[in-house]
Order: sequence, then structure tokens, then C-alpha cells
Amino acid sequence: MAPRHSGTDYGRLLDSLRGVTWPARHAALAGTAGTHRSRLRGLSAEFTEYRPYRQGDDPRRLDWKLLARTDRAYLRITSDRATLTTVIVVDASLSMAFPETTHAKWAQACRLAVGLAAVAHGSGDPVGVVVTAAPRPRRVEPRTRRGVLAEIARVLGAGDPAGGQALAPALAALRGTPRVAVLSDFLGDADETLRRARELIAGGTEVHAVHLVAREELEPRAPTLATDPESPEVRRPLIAETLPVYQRAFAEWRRLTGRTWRAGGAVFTEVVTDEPAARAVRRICGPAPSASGVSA
Amino acid sequence: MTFLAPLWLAAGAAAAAGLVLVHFFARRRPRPAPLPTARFVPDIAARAPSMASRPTDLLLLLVRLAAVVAIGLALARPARTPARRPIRRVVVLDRSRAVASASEATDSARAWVGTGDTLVGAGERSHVPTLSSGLIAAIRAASVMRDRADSLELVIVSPFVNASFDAATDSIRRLWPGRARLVQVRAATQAAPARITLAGAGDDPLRATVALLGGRAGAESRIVRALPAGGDSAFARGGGVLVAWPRDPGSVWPERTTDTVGAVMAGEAVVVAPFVRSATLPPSHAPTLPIAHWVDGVPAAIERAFASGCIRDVAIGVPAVGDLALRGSMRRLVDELTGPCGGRLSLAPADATVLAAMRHDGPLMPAHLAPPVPRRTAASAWLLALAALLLLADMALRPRSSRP
Repeated sequence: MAPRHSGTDYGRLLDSLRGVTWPARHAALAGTAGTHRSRLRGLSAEFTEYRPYRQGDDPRRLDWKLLARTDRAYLRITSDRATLTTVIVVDASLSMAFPETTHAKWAQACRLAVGLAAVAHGSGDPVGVVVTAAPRPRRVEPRTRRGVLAEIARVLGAGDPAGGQALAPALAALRGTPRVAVLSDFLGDADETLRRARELIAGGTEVHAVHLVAREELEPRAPTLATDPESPEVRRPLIAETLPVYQRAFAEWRRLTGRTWRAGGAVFTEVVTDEPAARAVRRICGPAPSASGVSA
Repeated sequence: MTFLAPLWLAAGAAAAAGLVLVHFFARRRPRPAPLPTARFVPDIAARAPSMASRPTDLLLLLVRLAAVVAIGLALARPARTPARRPIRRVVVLDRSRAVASASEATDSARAWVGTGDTLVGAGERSHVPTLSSGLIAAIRAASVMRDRADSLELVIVSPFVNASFDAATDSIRRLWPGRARLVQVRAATQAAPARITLAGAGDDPLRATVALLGGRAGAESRIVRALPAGGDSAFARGGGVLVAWPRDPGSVWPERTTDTVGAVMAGEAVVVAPFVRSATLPPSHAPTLPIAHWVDGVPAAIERAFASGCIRDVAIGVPAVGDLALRGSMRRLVDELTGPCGGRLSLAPADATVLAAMRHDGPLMPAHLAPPVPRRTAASAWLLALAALLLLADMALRPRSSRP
């Protein structure tokens, strides 16, 4: 039975994330005044430094008091703050509905999406969500208004993961978005998704890749005939002889996936389903982990 | 019911137990379970051994158990336990020419044969008239009877003349480790043919040999120097000795290649001369007895029984030139070739020591000392057939997924 989430389910998560910020990794483009450091300098009240006046500078930015005291013309330089529009892309392919009974991977994805949205929204950033659901994606456009979190929670809980929806088209539609967080198990169109993410990164988008891994994928039960829900023809015996081989191959693939995303310029974080969502959100929003900082 | 190879019963039971165990450890396809990361599992045969709390495929197990049990029983060779008696007899009847009256000897033998006893013959008419073959037959019969008696008694019905024994008789007798009862019957009397009739041309060199041989006491012998005619056969049927001795054997029984050979032997007679060997004696459906050999061992003359007489084919060419026909060795050869049917027998009573060795005073032979012989039981064949049917049924019942 698929779990359903509503806005009230996230109460404790939102409480524990109060005060958490998600600073931009680099200066944001100019825009609405917000909390993120902007590439634009000059008009805000936050003083940064003085600079000698050069011909062509706006005389209104001269520090007249300093000129009067010292008879030297200096400009008062201040840093601007801007908002960072954030879109959270949630993979809703069938592989996210795992384990079959609890859908823990999808539930964790929903919690992370709401948590990240709450953190971004708390900083005054417009936040939206794209759920790559069948038959067409469900989305909430980035907004700063008060009810956007509830709307995001409603969209996430509107349906269960199904089918083998691709992530890449959703990313392709987000060109120009300052910040994109992708929550996925990357078992679908991983290569195409990475290519689209690189395009976004090249366009100045800050991309966060959150790799969701179920505990049951790390420590599967044996013996079973493991069947890929998205490709039923893939049926492999998971027995005592094959379990260690599987675990080595899966670990190697996760390591390679993280390295590839980081090499592409994304911030990569691996989250296991049994990790508290608040802690995972703090890891995602915190300083970029080192290359070896993949948690299991 | 008894089993001739009971160890196979234990083997069959062990195999059946192993079979039941195998059905507990059946390799089966694991239960399907979704796993999005299934692609990282090695792609091997989708089967894994698992231990079941109950045997799997009960019908299949029963069929296999039945097949294994049937094979075990078949290899154990079940046999009905024969009625066992304290003593059974093996009676050897001498049927050679040394016996004066075959019917009298048979009656004597039958007097010793009871229910479950065995009668074997010895010394057929056209063969060497010794008891050796009869004793070998008696030992074989003892092997068959070893499960039916505690002891076996050997009864030999024979005239026990010197001709009844050869060099092997005593050794063969020792293979029967028990006493024997000797029943003596009348011995035959044998007389040499009295007159040799030669049907041939006047210049036949053999005529001189026959003339020099002179007359003998006994039955008549007839030498024909061509193929025998109807009258000659009638002569042999009446008990005569008919010698078919073509003057040119090569024209009657042509040899593929003609060669020369230095000597010919018959009984005690040896003739050394440059014989031209141009004939090969014809094969016969009837039992034949070689009575003369070339020096290289090839038969030069054979005898076959014909009613109460016999017919001899002689492929020895006598050269018309030279004095061979006049030699004493040639006369002895002709004497041998025209001797009584079956050769001359020594019909003198056997020595007392020989008879004592034959009797071998002592206990009867315990039946278990008889050499065992492999016995075929009909039940084994039927059980194997049943096992084959069950194995076919096993193939039909086997789950399709587990077939090779």
C-alpha cells in the first residue's frame, strides 16, 4: 500500500529545520533582494570596502563625508543580496516505490523535497517542485508565497511512483533556474540526466544531486529472485553466492555515480532511507562534502 | 525367497535414503522479489539450493524411490529358495563304445536317479570314449545343485575299462572332493575287421598294400577308390567300415593350392614320404573324428559315424611310382585306416588303483564346495523392466523447468 503524505506529516521535520539556511555555492545573479550574496554590488546598506573614484563612476556613490574629512574621493562599495529560485526535481519512477511494502525510498524523497523546500522558502527564495510522474509531470512553479510548502506536499502526495519516467526532460525544461535539486536513485536515464545537469551547470545553475538509496538495497534479503520493477525481464538469483558480488558491484556503481556527478560540477549527496530526513537536509544544505564523503 | 547378491539391497536402501534427502535439498527457483538494483546481481542460473521442511514433489519422489528399489532388488537377484535335501546325486552315464549294451547301462543309471537328481552323459559314440567329459559335466551339474542339497553324491555308471580313462581323467576327478559310487556295466568286445575289400583298378598300388596286409579277424572293411555308391552306404549302415579313399583325392576334394608334405600319421603308424597334398577334406555337419594327420597337423583322414557303422574319408594320395605301397609303414597306415569304427579301444578292465582313485573313499562332497555359477533369475529381468518404466515415468513427471 502506498504511503500518503500531507502537510501535517512534515510538522516535526519542518520544526527541526527551523533556522537552517541553504546558502548559494557562488554569488547569485542580480534579482530580487534576498539572503544570498549577489554578483551586483553597490546600493545596499551592507558596507564592504572603499574604492578610489574613477572617471565614469556614479557621483552619487561617493562617500561625501570621507571626502569632506580627507579631501579624497572614494566610493563606498556595498554587497547586494539576492534571492535564489530553487526547483526540486523528484524522481517518481517505479524504482522509487521500494521496498514494496513501505515505499521508504519515495517517502524519504518526499521528506527531503519538503525539507529542502522549507529551508529555501525560509530564506525567502522562490521554491517549486517537479515530480516526474506518469503520465505527465506534476509541478509547482517556484513561488515565495506562504502556502507553497503545503502545495508542494500536496503535489508530492498526489500519486505513487509508477512507470519508468525519465528525469532528463524535466531537467532540460529548467534551463535558467538558479538552483536545482534532483532527488533520485539514478537507476533510470542516469547518463542523459547527467548530461542535462551539466548543461544546467554550464548555464550557471547550481545543481544538487541527491542519491536516494534504500537500506534494503544495501542489505537485501537472500535468497530471492531479484526482479527489476522497471525491467521485469531482469531476474537474477540473489543467493548466498551472489550476494557479496552484488554488494561489491552496487557499492562500486554508487562510488562511480558520485564521482561522475561531482566531476560535472554538481553537489552530490547520498542519502539512505533510514537516515533522519532533517539530518540529511542539513547535509545537503551544508558545506559541500569532500569527494570521499559519501555516506552509506 | 532368497537374494543371491544381498549387498545390493543395502546399496538400494542407501540410494533411496539419499534420494529422499535430495528431495529435501531440492534446488528451486527462489521466490521473486522486486529489487530496483537487480542489475547488479550476477546473471547466473536462477536456481538456488534450499532446504525444505517436507520433501518436495512427492509423486516424483515416490516414482524415483520405486525405481531405485526395483533396481536394488533386481541387482540383488531374488530367487526362490529351492527344496533342500540332505543328499542329491549326480549320475554319470558312460555312453561310449566301450559299453556293451547302451540300454543296459541306461537302465543301471536310471536306477540311481531319483527326483531332483541329475543324469549326465559321457563318451559319446563318435568321440573319445573316456569319462573325463562326463566328470566335467558332473561338476557343472553340482554347481547348479549346490543350493538344493547338503551333500552331493557322484555315481559313475561305466564298464571302467582302460579306454574309459585318459591322462586328464584323474585330475578332473580330484575336482570333486568327495567319494563316488562306481556302478560297473558290461564292457563291449571289439574285433578288428576280418577282410579288407578294395574296389579299384588292377594297377592300384594300394592293392599291393592290402594284399601284403593279409586277412584279419572281425568285421569287414571296404575301401572304395572313388566316391561311395549306394551299396557302399548300405554296407556302412550295416555296421561295416567304409573307407572312401579316392585314388586322386585332389579331383574329389580339390585343394586351393597344391603342396608337398613329408609324412602322415594315424594312430601308431607313421609314413614318411614326399606326399603331394592336393585335397582338403570336406566339412561335415555330422560330428567327425580325425583319424590321420599330416605332419603339420592338418587332418588327412576323418571318420564320421553312419548308423551302426562308419564312413572314413581319406585324402592321402598314394604315388603309383615307387615302393611306398610295399613298405611296412604303409601297411600299418592302411591297417589303422581300416580299423574298427572309433579306433581300437583298450577294453581290458582298468587297474584296481585307478578304480580306487576314482572311488576316493571318504565323505560325500559338501554341496557348498561346488563352484558357484552365476544364476539368472527371471525376477531380476522383470524388476529391471519395471525400473525402466518408472524412470520413463520420472521423465514425464519431472517439472518442465528442471529438465535438461
